[in-house]
Amino acid sequence: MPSLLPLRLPAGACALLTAAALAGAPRALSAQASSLSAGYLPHAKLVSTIDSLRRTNPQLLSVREIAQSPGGRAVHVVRIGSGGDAADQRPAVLVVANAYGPHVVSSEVAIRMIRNMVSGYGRDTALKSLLDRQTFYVVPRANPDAAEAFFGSVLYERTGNNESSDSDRDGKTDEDGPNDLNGDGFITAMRVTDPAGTWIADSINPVLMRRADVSRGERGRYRLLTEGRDVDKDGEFNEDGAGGTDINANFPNFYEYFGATTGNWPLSAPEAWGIAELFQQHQNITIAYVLGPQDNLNTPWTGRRVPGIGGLPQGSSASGPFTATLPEDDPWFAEASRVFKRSTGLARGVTGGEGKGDVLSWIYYHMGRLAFGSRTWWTPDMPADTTRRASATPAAGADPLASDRQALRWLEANRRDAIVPWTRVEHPDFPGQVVEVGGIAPYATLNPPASELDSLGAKHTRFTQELAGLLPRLELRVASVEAVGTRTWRIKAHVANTGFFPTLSSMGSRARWAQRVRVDFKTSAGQEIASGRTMQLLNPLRGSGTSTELTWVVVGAAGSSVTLSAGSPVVGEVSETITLRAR
Amino acid sequence: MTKLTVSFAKIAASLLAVSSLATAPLSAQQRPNDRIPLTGALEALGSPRNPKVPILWDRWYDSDQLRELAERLARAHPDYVKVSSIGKSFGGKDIMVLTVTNFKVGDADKKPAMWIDGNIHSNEIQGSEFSIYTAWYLAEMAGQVAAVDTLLAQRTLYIAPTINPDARDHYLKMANTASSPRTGLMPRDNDGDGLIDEDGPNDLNGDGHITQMRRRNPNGRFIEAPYDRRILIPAPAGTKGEWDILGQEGYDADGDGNVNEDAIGGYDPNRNWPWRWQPQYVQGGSDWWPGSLPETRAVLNFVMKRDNIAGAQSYHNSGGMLLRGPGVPQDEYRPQDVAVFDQLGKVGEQILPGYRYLIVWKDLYTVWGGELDWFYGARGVLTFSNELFTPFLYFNRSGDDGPGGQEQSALFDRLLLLGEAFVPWTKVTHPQYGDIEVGGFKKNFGRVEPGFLLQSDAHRNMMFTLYQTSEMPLVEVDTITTRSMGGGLTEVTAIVINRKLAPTHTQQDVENKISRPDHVTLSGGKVIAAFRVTNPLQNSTEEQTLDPATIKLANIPGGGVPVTVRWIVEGSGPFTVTVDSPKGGSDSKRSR
Repeated sequence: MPSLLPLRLPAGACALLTAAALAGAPRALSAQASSLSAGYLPHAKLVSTIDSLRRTNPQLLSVREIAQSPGGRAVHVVRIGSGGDAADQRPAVLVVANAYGPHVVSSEVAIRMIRNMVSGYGRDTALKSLLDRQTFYVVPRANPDAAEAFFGSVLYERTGNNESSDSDRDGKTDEDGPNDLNGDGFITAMRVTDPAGTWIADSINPVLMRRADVSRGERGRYRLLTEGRDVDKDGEFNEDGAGGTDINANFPNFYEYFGATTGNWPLSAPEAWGIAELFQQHQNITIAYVLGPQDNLNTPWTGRRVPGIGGLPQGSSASGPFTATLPEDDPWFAEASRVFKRSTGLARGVTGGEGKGDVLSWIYYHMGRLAFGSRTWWTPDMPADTTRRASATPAAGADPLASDRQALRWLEANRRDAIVPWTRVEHPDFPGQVVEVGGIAPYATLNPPASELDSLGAKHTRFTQELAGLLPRLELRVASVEAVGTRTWRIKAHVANTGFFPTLSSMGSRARWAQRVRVDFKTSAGQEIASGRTMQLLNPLRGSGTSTELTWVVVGAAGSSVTLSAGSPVVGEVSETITLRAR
Repeated sequence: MTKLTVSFAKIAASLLAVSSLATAPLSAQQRPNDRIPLTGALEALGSPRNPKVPILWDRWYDSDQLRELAERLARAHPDYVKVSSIGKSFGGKDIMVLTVTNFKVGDADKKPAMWIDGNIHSNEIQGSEFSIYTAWYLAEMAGQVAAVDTLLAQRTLYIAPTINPDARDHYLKMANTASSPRTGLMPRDNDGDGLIDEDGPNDLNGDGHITQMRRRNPNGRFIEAPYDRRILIPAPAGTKGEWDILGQEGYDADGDGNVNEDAIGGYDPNRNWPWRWQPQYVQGGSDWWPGSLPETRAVLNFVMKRDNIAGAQSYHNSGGMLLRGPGVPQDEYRPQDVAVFDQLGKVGEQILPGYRYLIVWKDLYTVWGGELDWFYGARGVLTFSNELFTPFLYFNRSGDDGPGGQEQSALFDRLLLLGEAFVPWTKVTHPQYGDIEVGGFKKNFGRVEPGFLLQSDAHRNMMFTLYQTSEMPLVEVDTITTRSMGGGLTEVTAIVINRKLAPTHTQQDVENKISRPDHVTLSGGKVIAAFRVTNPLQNSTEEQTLDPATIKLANIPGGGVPVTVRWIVEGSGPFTVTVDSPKGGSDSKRSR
């Protein structure tokens, strides 16, 4: 498994850390780029797929364009729910896929979630009742410009949209991208034999490159770069290629200023802006499921109290923002993780912390919604290698290449075309030096072969439905109506949350935009409230039956009635008419 | 009733008599030139001799009138003023920018430029008039004062009189206090009840001002102040009061038990900027996300496209401050930049008596996502926010802005405004409180200048901003020396220099590579090698191997520190050396 670290690097840099060498492995050089994306949907096909789903399921689906990418591609949100626009009034789950552009598998999973739900609606009563009660908003491809690079003729893991950018801040835009020197359709790594280099080929596993460990007397032999030329002759290779803003790095939480692909400012990219606006347009979004590099379902987020500025508790003007989730929200992340493992059977997997400017943590920290993230797919565990060469492998914990070795074993067995043996190329920037190109093809460890997509889609559909089953649900119970005296009545009612998740997360109770449960007490003609409020906002209710008791004293004729209602966009509305008579 | 003392009532009455005596017997129709200002016999220094666009500086203009004034200036001074729109407000009004420079000299968008905006907070209006005053002063004084001509030849000013036109007009035309609205007009649910802008203040007495409500109560906690019976003060401990103060004028419109808890808008436009922006639980009023307001985005987009902006000023009110960032303690401004701020601030305190040079987080309060921090943090631009007007100006005396200031305000109102600033207490019937009285200081008192001080404060603040403008970087090729090295080779050494206070790149800019490096280019021969001479005395050099004809400099410091560059060139000259800086302008010289 490649670590998640490469996902944070600029496009093209990923291959550096997964660079593999297959010394002497016999393999014919041929353009393999198209085989990696075979069976995946490029933008135009994705759009027509969405459109045909909408046309065949008009009663359940509606599609809306939320942004145009700088490359002129539409970003869509698909609403799944019965009853037309009434669906916008129900508690909803937001699903966002592909904000991190190279993660194209997430789009495929999202499309299958839509398809599975609409096809199951007529057959599966549980699903039908879910879609009559709750709504899903699905953004299947948040970063269409970057995703389209997966379908190009020369592949590199492009993260940025088509906005031109000056990544190296030299006053020129997009002037030095990678170049396919060996003509195989992949941008991989490039090593230059150089006594001043700090890299060596790994001695145990003949395939990987690693830093020479000078403390053990190892001497570097190579410089390691991404495949390409120094087009603008500034001494840097491929430092400012095509590709502007990474949508998954353009959100305001933990935003990285001056990053190569983070954009001019948070939400400067129209795609990110369009996703953010969903929270303004749909106050009913209760939780979110984000398919992307940040994963908190294999290892749930656990909160910490981190001292802020001046040692004060974080979360105030004086002490600054939260840099860790809140411990009060631990149970919700923990349960979602249990449900995920149970419903998908995906027990071992990657753990991705919070990113910088990523959509997942933004939804939790700034929009105050519980947000769950899954990497969707990772190279599966392979049987242990029992050959002699493996016996020399250091213990996994001590081996920085452990996950690379694991990924490589899977590639050797399943995707040999994604392994590019080191091949010598003539390089104009290094006359007289030995330059070789090789390593692991881009995308290959992020996106599975298309044959796995249906099974993945089914697993994630199941999980998403189970997740929706955990949503908070309000119940209103009139506990007592008591005759206090002549025409005077004391009414006690309980507002309870019988779902699992709270009516607002702990972060949500701090964030401004997630609404509290509002309780209204409406009198009728001839009545007067002696005590109690006509309108009040409740503190968040944890789930599993947690309730709060409210009391009113009303003066009014016996037999007349009052109306009590409670609700918020994220939990829905309940109401009851109460007749003034002792019970 | 206004409780004027007898003597002042007499003065008022006598003034009224004088003015009626002075009224000409002929009507305006018969005397059509009465409204044209006379040119005078001798100019008053500091003012245009005969302005092409006469403007009265003793009143407040709404956004349409500001636009009209700007267009008049552009029509009268086409070589100095151009008006354009940089985007629309939420309410669909243009965010107007006046570009002020000598358009006949150089390219306006390449000259080192100053950004000026006003009125980001809706009620903090005078920045708009000060902005227009600046454009007016420069355009009308061109040709009259040499320093103005130099400034307009070398510099560009981008002036946005109001970056909040919707709510400016709300403040001016609707019933408000001196502090409302601060927000723009995008609808927001302030109290979390799902309803939007449903319970704002109400102008109970219909006077166009939101003042105070009071009610007589034998057990009240307030009494009339001995120094001015219009003012209520807490009853001294152990004594009986006679009034309740019921808060700002208004009633409970939505029946939730709270009064005025969800007025229009509900955010702070100066907490909406994408530098250290934080959500509501850290920074109140920051709104949905950085740049969620169209007015913020219009400025962001404009400034991002103009690397020539080297200085900025965002006018606020009030308190008499020359503020710089940082807004939060951990956002440290670089020491090299602080030195420049300090020098500008020191001169500013000289120009503006009663104003103090202060740091936002340290001397005022913590601000996350403020505009001045975006300018400095994200763009590396030296930026001030002047808090315009200070009670110091009442009696030119320190301390009147501190505790007890209300007594001095009331005194100023009586002595210099004849009580005009106070709405007399009048009886109204309140839907929830019954019979009450409404009264208090008007919205245009306390935070903005009265008419007779307006032009003076505009001029002084402008002069501070123009001082900063003139101290923005300006690069020159100082000298070029050549030395033959034999064999057709020449060593060319050039000194480039920036004699202004500010560097071409602030340290914040250098460290984050915000604007491109300065370029020093040699032409007139084939360049073999290029060097930055890091220490001319020891002749230490740093070679630039790539693209040697154009030497890149991360910065040309301010204060006239010479920067030396050197080339080895095939040829014998003459050579031309050009320095070109995004924020410092450009200059060329030819060797002999």
